[in-house]
Amino acid sequence: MLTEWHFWVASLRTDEILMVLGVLLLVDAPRYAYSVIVMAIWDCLKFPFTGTLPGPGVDGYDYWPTISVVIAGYNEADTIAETMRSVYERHPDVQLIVVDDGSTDGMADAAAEFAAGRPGITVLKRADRGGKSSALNMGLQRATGEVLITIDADSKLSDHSLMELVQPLKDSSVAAVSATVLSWNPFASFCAWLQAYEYRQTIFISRMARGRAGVLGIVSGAFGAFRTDVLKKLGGWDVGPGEDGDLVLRIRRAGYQIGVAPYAHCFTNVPTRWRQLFRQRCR
Amino acid sequence: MRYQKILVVDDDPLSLKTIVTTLTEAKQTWLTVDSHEAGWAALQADQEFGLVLLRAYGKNLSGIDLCRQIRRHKSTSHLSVIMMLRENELAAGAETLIAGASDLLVDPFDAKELRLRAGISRPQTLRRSDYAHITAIDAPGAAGRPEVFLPEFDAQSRQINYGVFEGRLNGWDNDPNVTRVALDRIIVCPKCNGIPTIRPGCGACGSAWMEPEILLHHYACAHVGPEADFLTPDGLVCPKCRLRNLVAGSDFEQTTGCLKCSDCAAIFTEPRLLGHCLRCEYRFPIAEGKLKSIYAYEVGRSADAATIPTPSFLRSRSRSKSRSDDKSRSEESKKTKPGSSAGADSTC
Repeated sequence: MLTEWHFWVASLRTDEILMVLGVLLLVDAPRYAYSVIVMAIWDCLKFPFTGTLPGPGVDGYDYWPTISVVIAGYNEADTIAETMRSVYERHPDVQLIVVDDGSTDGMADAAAEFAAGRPGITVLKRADRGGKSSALNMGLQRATGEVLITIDADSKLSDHSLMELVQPLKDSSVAAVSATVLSWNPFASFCAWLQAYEYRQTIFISRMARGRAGVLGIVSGAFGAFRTDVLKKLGGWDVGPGEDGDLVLRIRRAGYQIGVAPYAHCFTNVPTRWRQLFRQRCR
Repeated sequence: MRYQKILVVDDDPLSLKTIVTTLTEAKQTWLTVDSHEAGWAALQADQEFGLVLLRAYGKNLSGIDLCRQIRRHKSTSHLSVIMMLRENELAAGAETLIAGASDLLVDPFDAKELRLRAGISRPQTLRRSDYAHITAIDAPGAAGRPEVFLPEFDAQSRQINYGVFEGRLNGWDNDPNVTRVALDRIIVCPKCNGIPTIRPGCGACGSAWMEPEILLHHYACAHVGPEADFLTPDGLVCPKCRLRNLVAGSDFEQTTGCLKCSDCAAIFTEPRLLGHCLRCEYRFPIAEGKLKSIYAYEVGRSADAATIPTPSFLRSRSRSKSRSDDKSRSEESKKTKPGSSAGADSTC
């Protein structure tokens, strides 16, 4: 079959090849470049009137509701303490809820060890694995803050990411905020480097662009903020996979907007081996 | 408990010895007589007696008669009477009780049994008393020499104490002759220094009763909620998706959530360790408890050692030297030798 393909491509002239691949090369491949250029031009045009350019903390961190952070995970005993530390040391006043979804590697013990002597940390443990949605719902059931923030158990926050994340909720019509997930270990291997580039392009740039266009359809489960009362009214997450997108659609249908906080960064460890990556993407 | 005076009516030298030793240790005042007539005369003469230790059958003594007499008279009927019986007289135990004895004591008994039966408080924690050391603070006069003061748990005050005043302990802290030996460090009540009991409980109200919350997880819609939300008159219904007739295992599972205090309904995940003071009933988180160091006080012998004469072999050697040299040497030996002479003393 390969030889036939080769003969077919070799038989074409350059302009014919461009005719065939034109759509792909002109529209799909540089779509992120287009959005970057469009956003840059838009910002430059806006600058003389507003006097501000978008960036971290540009509106000031003047909104700080009561926050519940829910960390749901399965078999994340190695990383859970780091994740909890990254939240607790920056914001010891938030309610931190860790849900161990039936781990077999002692994740709840690791979390309880960190929680010992630190007030405001709740560690919930389930005997059997019930899925991420139900683990998040279990955390939601205990959440008391106005805003519920979900973080993956293998992620770390940057200094201002929580503050950055809740700013769009100043607007009472916004019920969920999407944030950016970046790679923590971009230089670990070539594979990780490519993924870091991918994360930056597909999550950071595209969410910023889609958020500005008002068509954002996803709030990543790895790092996102929700209004707790809206979540409770909607009944929380449904059965996965695809529970993130599904929840956003239900929030939109309930009449709320989705905010975007592109500078709220959360760093996650990406697989460093091709085989691990393949397994992760198969899920 | 401490009686003002104790009357001992006994003619058996063996039990008498045990009694007298025990009462001396407990610092009680007592009077011994060896006949019931003398006993009765003593009771008539002195109203301060609180307890009578009475030999039931003696050579010229009938304890049972004296007991009846004590009970018959209004001035003596309030007394506690402990009847001492030998083992072969046990059959008469009922008779002595009918005669009015408060308790029985069977020969041979030891100090502990006597203390328990008679309700005498145990001797002070002072093991022995070193008057070479404490004459300045304590009243002189008793015999014996203390070496170590050990703290003990006192069941009446529910505290660890030494049986001496706090002020005296402070005096010991500054005394170069007393060595303080660290024994232990314990958690005591922050309010009254009493000994607490420790248990896991609710951090909000201190209650020890808590129950885990029962949560149901509906598989179909991933809803997790308390069991009560699912219970309706129509059976189990998921409050999120309104699915009816849920079947355990195939439709939902039961999980446990946080712990709920049965008294104040507070929600928490980890029970806290709480102390409950035995003395003032105060409840406190263990972290709030006061950490108290427990020391033993070892009384040195340096004060003593100064009075020990210079050993003869040293004296004979110093004789050959001049008189002034001898004087300074003997003073020096007094100053520098207390440790070694104390060691020599203890081996004697």
